[in-house]
Amino acid sequence: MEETISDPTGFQAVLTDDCWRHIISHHPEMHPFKEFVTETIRQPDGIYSGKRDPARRIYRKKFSHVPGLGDSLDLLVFVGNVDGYVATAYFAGYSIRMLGVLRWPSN
Amino acid sequence: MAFQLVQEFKFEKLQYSYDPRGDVLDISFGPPAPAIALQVEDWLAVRVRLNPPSLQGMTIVGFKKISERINRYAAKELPKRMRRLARVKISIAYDDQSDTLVMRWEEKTTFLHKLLNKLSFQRPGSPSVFEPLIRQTGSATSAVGQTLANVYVEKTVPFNEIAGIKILQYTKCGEAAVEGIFGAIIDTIFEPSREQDENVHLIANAVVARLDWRKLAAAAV
Repeated sequence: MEETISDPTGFQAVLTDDCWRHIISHHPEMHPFKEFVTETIRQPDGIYSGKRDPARRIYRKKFSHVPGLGDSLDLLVFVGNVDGYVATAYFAGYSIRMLGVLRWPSN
Repeated sequence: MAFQLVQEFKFEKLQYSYDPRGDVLDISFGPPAPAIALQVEDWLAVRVRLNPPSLQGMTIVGFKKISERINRYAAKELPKRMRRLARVKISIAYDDQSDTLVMRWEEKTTFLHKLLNKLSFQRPGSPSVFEPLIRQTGSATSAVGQTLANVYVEKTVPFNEIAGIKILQYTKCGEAAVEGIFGAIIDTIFEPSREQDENVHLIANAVVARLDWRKLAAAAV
């Protein structure tokens, strides 16, 4: 089964069961937060293209409280620019460097 | 000075998995466990477990593209490095009197290494020297230069290999220094045309050398 999610630019991301299983098998803290992932694609704070891999869309959304994990965490969702495949997703507490080039919202 | 061991990392229980469709490599130092990411760059996350605090693993998004850029001859040049990484032990110690943090890494020696060391008369605890990570030239006045001014590298004598890193004034500068070290390594790997210090090169080489890109690439088939 797969879920298609539209982002604010009209781009459609695809979250398959296989992909979700892959995400939670390596990032088990994500298990209760599938809805957070779809929300991050649907209503992100920012969409970036990767610095080293411009074909990668990175969705970022800040959550003020994530039960069991902590406060003020950024959920990052990585999506292929061509096929819309959701590659992975996880919570980041801190980013040392900027997340590539901001594509949305544009200035 | 009385350094106290703060943290010790062993990589013996290293596991890894590659998702070819998403081109994502997950490396786990032990069974996967809940963790929060420290995002080093948009493609690289270091995963930190909260309870107890420890290094959980790494996630590399776009692994195939990234590994090709780091070393396109990886398959020929770098065999058996994942096994080598599994032999590495990183220990971090802190001295509160001098506010100094020392990070050292050691590799368990194989029988062959032990034999070679004996033949070269190298003894355990062989001497080392500390040098500034970056040269104190014009770059020292830049933001990066100031960030890294308190970072020293420990190099073995006479082999000139990186054995560790020392950060002075850790409570004041530690966070920025760690960021600066990560940044310098990444810039050295991806932007080799930029002027970089020898010691940063040595650290970047040590990091790259400890990953078996061939084995990782094989997982990416």
